[in-house]
Amino acid sequence: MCVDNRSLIFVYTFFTRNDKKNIIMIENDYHLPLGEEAVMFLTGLQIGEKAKITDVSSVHKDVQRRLLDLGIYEGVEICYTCTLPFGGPYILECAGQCVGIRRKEAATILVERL
Amino acid sequence: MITVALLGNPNTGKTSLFNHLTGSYEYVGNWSGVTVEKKVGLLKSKAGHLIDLPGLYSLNPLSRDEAVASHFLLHETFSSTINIVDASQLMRNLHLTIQLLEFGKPLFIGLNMIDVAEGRGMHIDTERLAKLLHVPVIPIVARTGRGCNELAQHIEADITAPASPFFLHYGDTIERAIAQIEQSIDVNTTISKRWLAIQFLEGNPLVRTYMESLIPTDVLKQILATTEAHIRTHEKMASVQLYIHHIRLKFIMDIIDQTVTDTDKNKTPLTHTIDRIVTHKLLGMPIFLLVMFFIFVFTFDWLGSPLSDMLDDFFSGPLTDGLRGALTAIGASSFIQALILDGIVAGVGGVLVFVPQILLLFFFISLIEDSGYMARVAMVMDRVMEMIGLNGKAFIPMIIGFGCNVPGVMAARTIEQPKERLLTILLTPLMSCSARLSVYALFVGAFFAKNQALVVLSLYVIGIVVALLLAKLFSSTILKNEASFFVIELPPYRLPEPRTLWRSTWDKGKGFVKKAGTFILAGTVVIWILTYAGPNGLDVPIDESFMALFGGAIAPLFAPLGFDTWQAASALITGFLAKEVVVAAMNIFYFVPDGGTLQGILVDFYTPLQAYSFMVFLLLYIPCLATVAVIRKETGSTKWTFFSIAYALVIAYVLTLLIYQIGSWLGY
Repeated sequence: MCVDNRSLIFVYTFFTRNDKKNIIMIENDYHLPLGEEAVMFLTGLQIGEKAKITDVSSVHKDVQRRLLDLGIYEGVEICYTCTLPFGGPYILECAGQCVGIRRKEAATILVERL
Repeated sequence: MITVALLGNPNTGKTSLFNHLTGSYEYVGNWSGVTVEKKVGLLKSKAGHLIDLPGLYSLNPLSRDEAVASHFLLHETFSSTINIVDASQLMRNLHLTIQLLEFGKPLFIGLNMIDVAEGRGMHIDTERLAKLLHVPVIPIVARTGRGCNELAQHIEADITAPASPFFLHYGDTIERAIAQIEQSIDVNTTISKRWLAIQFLEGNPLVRTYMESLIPTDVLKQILATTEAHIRTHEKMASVQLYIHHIRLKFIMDIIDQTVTDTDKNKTPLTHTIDRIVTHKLLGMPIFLLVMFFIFVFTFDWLGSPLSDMLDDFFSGPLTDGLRGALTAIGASSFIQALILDGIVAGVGGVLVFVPQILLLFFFISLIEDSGYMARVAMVMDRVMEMIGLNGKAFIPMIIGFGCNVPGVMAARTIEQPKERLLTILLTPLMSCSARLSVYALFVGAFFAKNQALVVLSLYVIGIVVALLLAKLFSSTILKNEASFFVIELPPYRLPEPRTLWRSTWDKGKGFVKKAGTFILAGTVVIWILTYAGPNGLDVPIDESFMALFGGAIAPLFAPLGFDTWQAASALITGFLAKEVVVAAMNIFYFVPDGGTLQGILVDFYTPLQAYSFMVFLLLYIPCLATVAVIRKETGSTKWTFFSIAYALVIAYVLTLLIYQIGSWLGY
């Protein structure tokens, strides 16, 4: 099947924006090769992996602002530490500081694996 | 007399610094959101006042807490500011510093946690930093007090040279907008016009409101719109706010380049290791429950109750006898003797007896806060909270509510979204507070001597479960929510300093004792008089007193719940004043003969099931007077205050009914 990458992203984002459906949609680690680098959603990372944030604009604007204050924004390197069970929060480490965010938000953040 | 404002990011040790500089204690916790009010202290040298403002990352507020600081800067007078900065997180902390430097008032930087930075392999050239920022930078370790005296001397000597006013160039577009705004303000303002302009462009709502009184709104809107459009097209940034952040970031990174040397990047801090266990997929929640269970067992079975019993023996034995002797010696009337011995000593003493348990509970809550574990608790609980429409941060006010509902309700201020905040405020009173604890202690001691901790734990759990269910109910019906969000900082674990811990505990416990001296004392006297006097005169048998008559009138309401005695009914009425008063009331209603205890007597009047349903009713039925007052203040709405009382009564009645009826049917 030949599908354009951009339409894939659009479709994916469309689904994940709808809160009720997102838990099922994000279960799979979704790779979206764009050019040479592998860009993916934060939820696709494995524990302990480092990645660079490429896009946080789909996140709820208050969460974006808070993440900005805490030093997490586009271009910053983070390390995915762990996640709590049953769809619980993600813990990210950035510049020696640990921050927790909800899976819902993590699923809309695009990162580039390092 | 100077007035100094203390500002800094959350979790930077601000309140520790405050304590060292003022010598007076304030509430400390390692979790952002504990300092919910501005606190004023007298500097140790008596040179002036220090005002501790809530932690914030930027002057542009996101929550009500953060708005307090902005409001303060705009509207109140002060001489200088101290900016406490976390040395191990310079990149994040300096954003606020820049904003404060732009504000223009004399600034002193307390560079805190240099020990943590060194531990991470970072070395900071503080002199270079001071030169680059044009303000004094004093390295401190607020936890131990190192460097604090030097900081104090700096503030008091006020040796800032008239600073070359800090100037960060934001690029032509922004600078043009700033100039335009500055020119449009044709009056003299005490606050730096440049600062106002920058904050306005950044989107600070308080500054915007302030500006609207100085410049016509259309002019402001137009300037902002043009600048925003320009930034989008020419700088390719989504908003002016982001662009300003970006410029500041470049400046900060330049500073860090010049002042910080990184020696060892690969140490794994102990914090991460602990977190791996405590926020472990499977172990996280069980560990937390285990911690809570341990706290309860320690407070009741192991240490709290034995101490409590000793106090009780003292009050009813040597103290009473001693006072009786003294009163007889000075020839006090029998009325006065009865008032003091049977009323006050029995009543207030009956409440003070539980001080050991209360202090222990407060100690553990302080331990959890000071060590940093509180934030992890919020994380672990977030999934559950999310399911009911709240977020993990709402759990904290509730945990505090276990100590006392009043600060618990106040702690809800840190929740950014109004509907979530309201929901938390409404539900916190369901958390079984230390006052109710004194009533439980009384009853479990009498009826469930072998399983005290377990029974009390069950009551706490009922409170939590009811709160969770109601949260789900309210957020899907009356308080239809916008989606809640959750971002939390996990501060590094710290071993709490014993002195801070003790002060933290005592400060919370002090409230309990103070309440005893005021509300409860007053209430006890009134209750005692109502039991002493009756329609037939004074010193009537207790069954004929006003209290008995009044209680008896409403007692039938409680028949289906199992405790339709006038004593229970009256005690519940007095419980509105303060829950501990129930104990005081019981002590008075059931006159205890010499050599006996109240607990011994209660067993003759109630069955264990009745006692349990009484405790459940007490848990839920109404927040105490102080809590109702705080709810009114925090919500700003009488409607919601009445609602909080009404729903509590309904839930209490229904649930207790179920428990008692099912319990009796099961044969208990």
